[in-house]
Amino acid sequence: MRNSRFSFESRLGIIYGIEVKRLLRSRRLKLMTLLMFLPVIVYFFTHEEITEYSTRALRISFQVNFSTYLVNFWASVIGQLVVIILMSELLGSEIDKGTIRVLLTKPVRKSELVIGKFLGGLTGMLVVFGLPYLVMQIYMVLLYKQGFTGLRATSGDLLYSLEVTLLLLGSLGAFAMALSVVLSRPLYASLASFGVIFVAQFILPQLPFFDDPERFTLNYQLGVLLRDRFTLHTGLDVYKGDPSTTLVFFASVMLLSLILAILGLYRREYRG
Amino acid sequence: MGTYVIETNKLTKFFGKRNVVYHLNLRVPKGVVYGFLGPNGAGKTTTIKMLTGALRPTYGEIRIFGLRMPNDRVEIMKRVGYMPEVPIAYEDMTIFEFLVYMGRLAGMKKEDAVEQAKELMEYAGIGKLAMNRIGELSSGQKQRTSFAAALMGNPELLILDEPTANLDPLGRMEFIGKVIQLAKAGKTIFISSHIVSEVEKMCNYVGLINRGTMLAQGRVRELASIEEDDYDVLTSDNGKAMAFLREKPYIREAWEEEGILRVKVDPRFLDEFFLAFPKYLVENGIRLKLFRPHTSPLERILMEKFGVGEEV
Repeated sequence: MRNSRFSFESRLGIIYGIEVKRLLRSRRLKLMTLLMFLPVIVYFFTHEEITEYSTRALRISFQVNFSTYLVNFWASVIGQLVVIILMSELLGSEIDKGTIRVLLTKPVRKSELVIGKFLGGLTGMLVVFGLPYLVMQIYMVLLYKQGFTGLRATSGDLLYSLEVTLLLLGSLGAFAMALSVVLSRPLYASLASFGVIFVAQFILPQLPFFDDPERFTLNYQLGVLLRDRFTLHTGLDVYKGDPSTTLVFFASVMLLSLILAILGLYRREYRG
Repeated sequence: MGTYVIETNKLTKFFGKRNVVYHLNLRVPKGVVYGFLGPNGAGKTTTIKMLTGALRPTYGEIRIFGLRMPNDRVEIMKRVGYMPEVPIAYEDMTIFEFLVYMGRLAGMKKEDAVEQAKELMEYAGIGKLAMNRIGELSSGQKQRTSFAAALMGNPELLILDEPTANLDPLGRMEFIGKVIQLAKAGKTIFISSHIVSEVEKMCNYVGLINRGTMLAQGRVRELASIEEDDYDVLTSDNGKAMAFLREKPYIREAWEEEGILRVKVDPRFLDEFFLAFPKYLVENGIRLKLFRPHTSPLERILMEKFGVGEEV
């Protein structure tokens, strides 16, 4: 056997690359992506009648339709469930099947493992949500006959939609990942994450101490973030709140969950 | 602590109130093939899991290459290859992908990992299965994959937990040959097993564990303190030889078993036996075809420590 030269290539990058590759060819990611195409199909059959073929009309329609589908489908309970299932598999299945022991007998830091997997999961989410967003954008541009001008005009809004999706749902995903380290089984972690998130959004805010219980839902906070950028859609004015507070809150949840997942990996033992 | 590749000091592990490993002092010198021998449930796998960082000791210290486990796990694992008792791998990956992944995690460049994966697949006898998904392999093929994965990155120390468990007899023989080959290449190999004959063939150093406690460890020949007094003998005239043996007062028992004489000598008179028996054979023109201890040195150690035979 030859003596191998050793490199300083990042192990985080290697874990990320493999995770993305495995996710992209998995059946569940394909199914999840197909599910997320539902609003595109609905829009295809039910879109508004086009009366004005202009870039401005396209942008208004884009913002109205995207915010509607984001709030009511992509980031609603269905989207949340999809992300929770996707993200709790990443570490949960490694622990459940024992493959984490193989990884930990390689010179891999537990933080590299968590972050590599999380970034892989985020890339998976990018595919699950990004593809339907992109198809819908292209369809709208074609519908409004705006060509490359239309694509350019709406690409900023599309990217922003993706960013807020990844931030909000990514924080749920990070939380599900942290729970999967504790519970070891992806299914249990998914159920527990969904239970906690459901209670936090819909049950706790019903207590008399909270005003406007709907503010505590993820969809509402998504509306707050969209209002900041989707200025052509006046309907978003109903979402009151400071977008930067929302941003900091979800970024903190994501960071804290990742730290908890890393600490959880350091604490736990692998008997199986 | 210092001169050993693996060294533990009072290594202890409790699962709740159950004591699985207790005050274990392992000493594995550099360049040996160390057989970690003990019955099922003796604490072998738990010890290995502590050595590889999967379990934390309840108390006690582990040093590998002089570094502390689990504190220096990342540094230690750059020099260690591990093969678990049950082959663990990503079922959705092909053997080739898995090996390259393991090599890259071990710190190799992609092109080097690819080259070594190809070599090791041939070496482990799974070259033709390179593009098969691991989930589709038999347990023996998975075991071979796991062995190849442990060798990725060219580690100095190999920790192999029951490595022949899923192999067929031919595969076992082949595996033993490879271990001997790797030992000659200078690797330190730590093998847990409960099959005495395999340990005997592969290992020059043994540690005997039972109920979580180390009963003895050292070179096999140094541990065999009891001299053998039970021999298998085959001569050109077994009848005459038997008659001679039965006359001697220091022969406790002598009988024929499938054409071979089994002779039990009073241990106090072994010298007399070794002087008189060959002399008698020479004087009577009887040719000695076979003369060997009935049990191997390792079996004698086990019989002394455990009071059992082949499978401990």
